[in-house]
Amino acid sequence: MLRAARGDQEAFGSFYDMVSAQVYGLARRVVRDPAQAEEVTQEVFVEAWRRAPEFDASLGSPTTWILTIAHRRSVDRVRSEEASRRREERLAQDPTSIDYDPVQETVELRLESQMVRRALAQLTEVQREAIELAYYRGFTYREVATLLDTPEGTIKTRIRDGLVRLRDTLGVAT
Amino acid sequence: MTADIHSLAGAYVLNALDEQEAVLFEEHIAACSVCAQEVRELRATAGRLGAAVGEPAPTELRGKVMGQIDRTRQAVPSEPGRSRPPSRWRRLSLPVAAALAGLALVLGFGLGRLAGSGPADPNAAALAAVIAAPDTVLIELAGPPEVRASFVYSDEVGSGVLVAEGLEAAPAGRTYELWLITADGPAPAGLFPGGELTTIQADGDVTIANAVGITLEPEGGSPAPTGEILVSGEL
Repeated sequence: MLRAARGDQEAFGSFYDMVSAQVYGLARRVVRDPAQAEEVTQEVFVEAWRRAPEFDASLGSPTTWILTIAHRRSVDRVRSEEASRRREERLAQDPTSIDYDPVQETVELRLESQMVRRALAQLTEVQREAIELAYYRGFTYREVATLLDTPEGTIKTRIRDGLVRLRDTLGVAT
Repeated sequence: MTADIHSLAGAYVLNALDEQEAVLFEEHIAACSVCAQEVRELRATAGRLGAAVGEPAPTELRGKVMGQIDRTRQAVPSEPGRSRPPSRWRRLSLPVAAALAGLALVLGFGLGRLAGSGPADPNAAALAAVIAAPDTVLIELAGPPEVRASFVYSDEVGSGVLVAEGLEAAPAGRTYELWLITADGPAPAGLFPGGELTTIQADGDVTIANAVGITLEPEGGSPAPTGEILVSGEL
């Protein structure tokens, strides 16, 4: 990453090889549509390249950094006006259609996936539900509160308590 | 609903705050090292959630990305020591000098107005001071569905600021009036015209207030509310 920050494209290519599956997988999970996930992934890497000189290792790992960008961009995509309108219409028709599917196993990242799944399983049902709706589906905590017909403050607490518990289970380092 | 701003870290790292709250929270973590640390840790945790759903990207994507970065210039490194949360700041792309005014900008003062303006808006400065306080509290105010209003206050700073959007401009000859409600009843806390966005520091002692409200009053304001309470919240 430090070499990429100085304009080394080859180093950036190695970084791509290391994290592209994670970035694409996350985009795919949040935006759903493969073509859009591909667009988002491309945007994410171009942004990472452009901003590589700003990367500050003291604030977290390069993986955390790019996944933060990836999640933000994916969420922006699903919250774009048209997408959210379609989503709301669907929910209005069938409120039970919020399928917050559990973390799926993948070949490349089976170990990581298993660890996270195990950590998620240690949360309470309601904590897991709130975190999965927010993170994997891109709902704001207010939307989660509406969907689950639960006070906003309660959802906020579930999200934070759940994440703190995940942090303690998984360890902080990435 | 009363929201302790410190409790927002979880929803923040999941990008699950709405824009206004996220900006408030970012201002807060710039000043609160406890929250900043929590954000760093929880962000890494959120990254693990992201990493767990990996799946191979389409093979042709690598070529596209490498082709595009070949044509993309890298950013000039920012000054050291001033670290910021990444994406939202990027989207705002504010000069550092406008960082405080950035809040006001986002809350609707508008880029053009900011660019051409001279001294910072005192209400925006008051808002920035309140948000940076260690005991900041953000209250969502209740009102008509088209109105989004919050009252942000700090007993330590001794100041509170109303931020409202969606309040229709007051009709001719009328004005909105903000009230700080104490044990002695409502006290006038400022007049404002409404319209798209309002940021106004409450004129009065927020430390003894237990609620805030907004009414529509005759021009010049009233010493005690005469109109019905349109928007309100308990502190």
